[in-house]
Amino acid sequence: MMKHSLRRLVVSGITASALTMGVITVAPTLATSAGAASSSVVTWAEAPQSPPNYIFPFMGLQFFSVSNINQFQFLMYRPLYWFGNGTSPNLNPSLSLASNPTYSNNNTTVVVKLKNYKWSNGESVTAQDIMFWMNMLHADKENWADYSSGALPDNLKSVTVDSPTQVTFTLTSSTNPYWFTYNELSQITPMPVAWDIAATGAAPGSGGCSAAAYATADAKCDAVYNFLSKQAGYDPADPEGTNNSLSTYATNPIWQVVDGPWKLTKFDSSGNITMVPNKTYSGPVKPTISQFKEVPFTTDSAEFNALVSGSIDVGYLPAQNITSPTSDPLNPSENNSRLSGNYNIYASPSWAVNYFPYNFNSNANSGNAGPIINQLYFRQAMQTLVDQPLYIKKISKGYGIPTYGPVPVAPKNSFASSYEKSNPYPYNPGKAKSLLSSHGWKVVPNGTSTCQNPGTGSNQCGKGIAKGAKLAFNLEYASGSTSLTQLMNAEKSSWAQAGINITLNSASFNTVLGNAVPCSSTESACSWTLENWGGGWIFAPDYYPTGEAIFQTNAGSNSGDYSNTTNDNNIQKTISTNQSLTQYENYLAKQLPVVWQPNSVAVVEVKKSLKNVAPFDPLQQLTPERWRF
Amino acid sequence: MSMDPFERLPLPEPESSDAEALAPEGGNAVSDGGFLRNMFHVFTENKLAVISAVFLIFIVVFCFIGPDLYVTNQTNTQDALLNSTQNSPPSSAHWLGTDESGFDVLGRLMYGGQISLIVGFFAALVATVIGIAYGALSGFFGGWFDAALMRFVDIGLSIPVLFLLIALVTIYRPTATMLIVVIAAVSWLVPARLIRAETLTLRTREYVQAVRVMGGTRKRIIGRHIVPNSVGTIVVFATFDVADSILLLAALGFLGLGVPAPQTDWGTMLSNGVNFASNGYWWEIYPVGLCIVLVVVALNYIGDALRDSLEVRLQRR
Repeated sequence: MMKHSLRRLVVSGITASALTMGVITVAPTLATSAGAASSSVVTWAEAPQSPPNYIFPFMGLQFFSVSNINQFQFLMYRPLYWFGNGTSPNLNPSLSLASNPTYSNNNTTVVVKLKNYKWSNGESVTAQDIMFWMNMLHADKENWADYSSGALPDNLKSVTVDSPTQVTFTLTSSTNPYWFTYNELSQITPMPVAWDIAATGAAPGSGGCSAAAYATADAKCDAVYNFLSKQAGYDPADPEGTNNSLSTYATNPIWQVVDGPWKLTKFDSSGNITMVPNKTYSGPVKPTISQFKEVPFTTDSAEFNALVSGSIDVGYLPAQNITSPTSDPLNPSENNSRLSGNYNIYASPSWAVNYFPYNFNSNANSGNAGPIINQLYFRQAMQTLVDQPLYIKKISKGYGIPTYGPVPVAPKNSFASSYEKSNPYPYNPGKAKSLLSSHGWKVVPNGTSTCQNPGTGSNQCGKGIAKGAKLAFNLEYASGSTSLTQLMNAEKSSWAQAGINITLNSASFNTVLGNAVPCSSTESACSWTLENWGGGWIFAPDYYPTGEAIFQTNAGSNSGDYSNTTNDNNIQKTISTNQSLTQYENYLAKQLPVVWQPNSVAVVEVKKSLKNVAPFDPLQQLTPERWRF
Repeated sequence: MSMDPFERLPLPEPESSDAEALAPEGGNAVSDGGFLRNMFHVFTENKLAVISAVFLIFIVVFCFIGPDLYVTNQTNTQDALLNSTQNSPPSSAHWLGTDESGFDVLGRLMYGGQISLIVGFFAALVATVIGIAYGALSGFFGGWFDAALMRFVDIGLSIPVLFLLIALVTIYRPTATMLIVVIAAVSWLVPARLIRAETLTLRTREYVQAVRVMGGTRKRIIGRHIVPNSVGTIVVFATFDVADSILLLAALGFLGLGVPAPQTDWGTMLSNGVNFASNGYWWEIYPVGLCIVLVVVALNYIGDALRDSLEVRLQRR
C-alpha cells in the first residue's frame, strides 16, 4: 500500500514503488505511452488510479499528495530545502537550493543563503522568489494545505530580503531550530518572477507579489494566487469545479519556467506524463536519460502485467503478486519468479504513518455520526477491532509495519516511543463489545448496534447521540489496489462483530482525497464519515513528525477536523522547545484521532539494466536525474 | 330465391380410396393433448435443450440449496483471513481451494451464483415487462405516438450498453436491487422493438378487427389479444435476456462494478481470480468461468428450443 501525505501518501498495501499509489478494477489498461522502454527512456509506473492532477506548488488539501508533489512537481520546481538523504528523511544539503539556515538571537532570527541556481528562462533563483512564496503564504495561508495555526506565517514578525541571495526571517518568539528547518522552511518552494502575473500575457512581476515587502501586498498576491490556480485548473471561487486545464500543463508557458532537472513535454488527464531534461538545470546531479515517462494504471494487476511484459523500468510489486512473504519488512524475500529475470526487488519503507480520518463534524446518520465519532470509547472500540499484525501477515505478505500512533516507526529513529510501539489497543472483539455495551449501546453482532441509553453519564451513549442512533457509517476508500480492498473488507467484517455496520464504497484516489476535507456540520457536503485514500501521511514537508499539520486544531491537513486542547498544547511544546515527542505521541496513541492502519512497505521492482535507482528515500520522491543505464 | 352465402353446401363423401390422396400436405391435424403438450414434445426433441434445462435446475439447486449442505464462511473476511490459508489449492477441506481472502471457492461459487441468477432473472423479467408494455402501446397506437416512442428507443440503442451501465453503476451504489434496475434499464429496448413489430402485425388480424367491431376497448385488445398472441416472442426473448443479463452482470463484476464485498457475483469472482492468473491459481478462474459459460449456453439452448416449441408450424400436426 502506498501513501499520501506531504502529503497524503497514496494507497497503502500496494507495496508500491517509489511512489504512491492508490484500487477499482477496470480492465487492465496500461497507458498507451507505456511502450517498450528504449535505452534512454525510463518508464515509471504510477500507482493505480492516482495520476498527478495538479501542477501549481501552492495548493490546498485536495491536491496535497505524494503523486502531485514528490513525484511530479518536485521534478520541475525544487523546494528550498531538499529532504531525503539515502534511506533517511534527513535534510540533504547538497540537493537544497540554499545552504543550511543559521539561527541566532535566541532562535528568533533565521538567515537563509541561496546557492547559485537558475531558472530555465535564464534568471537566477533569488531571495525575491522566496519572498514571492512568503507573500503568497501570508495572503492565502488558508489555501495552503500545510498551514497550521500559530505556525508559518503566524509565527513571523518579518521577512526581509537582505540581498539577492539572502533572506532573513524574524520570528515572534524563540523556536525549536530543528522544527523550524524541518517543518517550516521545508514548506517553501521559490517561485519565478515569471509567475508573478494576474493575467495571461502580463509582464513578469506585474502581479506585484514578488517584489513587495513582506505582508504588504495581500490583495495583489491573492489575485496572483487566483490566476495561477485557475491556470492549474482550480478555481478558488468554484472549488468543486472540474479541472479543465490538465491538457495545457505541457504547453502553458507559465509551467515551462523551471529550476528543477526536468521539463514537462506531455501531460494528459489520464496521467500519461513525459518529461525531458532541463538543459539549463544548475543543480549537482544532471539527467543522463533522454526522457522520463510516468504511466498510469487503473489497477495494480494491470501494472503487474506491464512488469511481466517488461514495458516499464521502475514499478511496484502488488501484494497479491508477492510469492515469497518476508519475515522482515525492510529486507525483501525472493522476487516473483516471473520478474526475477528482468528486475531487482527492493523494499522501501516510508517516513509515514498510515491511517484514515474520522469526520468529527459529520452530519450523517441523522446527525448522530459526528457525536458518536467524538466519543473516545467508540474510537477505542473501532481501533480494538483492527488486527494490524494479521493484515500485515496475510494481506501485505509481511511487507508492513503497524501504526499505533502519530510517529513513524520506520525507518528506525529516536522519535517513536516504546508506548506507541506497544500497541495500546490490541485486537480484542470482546473488549470492543464491552466498550459499547458499557456505554448504553445494544450490541448486535453482525447487525447494527443502537443507542439504548442516551445521555452524558459514564454509562451512557454520550453528548448529542439520540436514543435509537445506529452505529452505521459509510467508508469510502481508494479503488485500484487489491490489497486495500481486502483490508477494507476484513476490517468491515471485524467491525461487524461489535455491530458497527460499515458500508464500503470505492472511488478513485483523487476523489477520495477531494472528499476527505474538513467541513462544518452545517454544510451539506459534510456527510462523509470515513475516507481512506490508502496511505495515511508521509511526513513531508513536516519532516519532523510533530503532527501540527494533521492533528492540530484547524490545521490545513487535519481532514476530520480533530480538535483537542491537550493535544494542541503537547504539539506546541514540541515546536517551541526541544521537548521530545513522547508526550504528544503517547497522548494521540491513546486518543485515536484517526483509525490507525498497517503501514505497507513499498516493494519496488527496478530493471536490472537501470542503475543508481536504489536506495530509495523514505519520502517516495522521484529523482530520475540520478538514474543511469 | 336468395341464397345464403354462408350456407354450407354438402360435400360429397370422399371415397375411402381417395382419403389418403386428399389429406392436406403435412398430414391431417390431430389433437394429441393440446398446445402445451405439443410444445413440450417439440422441446424434448431437442436433446441439448433438455440437458441444458437439467443443468440449469442443477445450478439453481447448487446455488440456493447447496450452501445448506456445504456450509462455509462467505461473509466474514476477518475470519477467513484468520482461519484459512489464502489461495490454497483444492483439498479435502476446500474442494475447490480458497481465494485471496481465504474464502472457500466452492462455497463462493454458490454464494456468487445466487446473486448472478437472481439479478439475471429479475433484470430480464423487469426488462421484458417494460418492453412488452412499451412496444405494445407503440405498435398499437401507431402514428406520431409510435414514431416518438421508437425514436426514443433508437436513441437508447445507439448508446453503448456497457458505457451506459458503467455510468449508471458509478452514479448509483451497486446493490443487487440496483443492478437489477440498472441492467433492466438498458435491456428493455430490444423487447420493446420486437413487441412493437409483433403488434403491428397482430393489430391488422381479423380477430383484432372483430373485437374492434364489437366495441372492445383498446385495453382489452392489447391485454387479451395482442400480448397473449405475442407470448412466443416474449418467452423466447426473456430466456435469452436472462443469459444476457448474467453476462452483463459478469462484465460489471469483472470491471469492479459488481456487488460490493463481501457479497460477490460470478463476474467479480472472475475478476478477482484474474489477479492471480500469473500465480497459477486456476481454481480461482476456471470453475467460475465455466459456470458463467455453461449457464449462458444452457439458457441459449433453452431459448432456441422454446422458440421451436412455440412455432406452430413445427408442432406435430
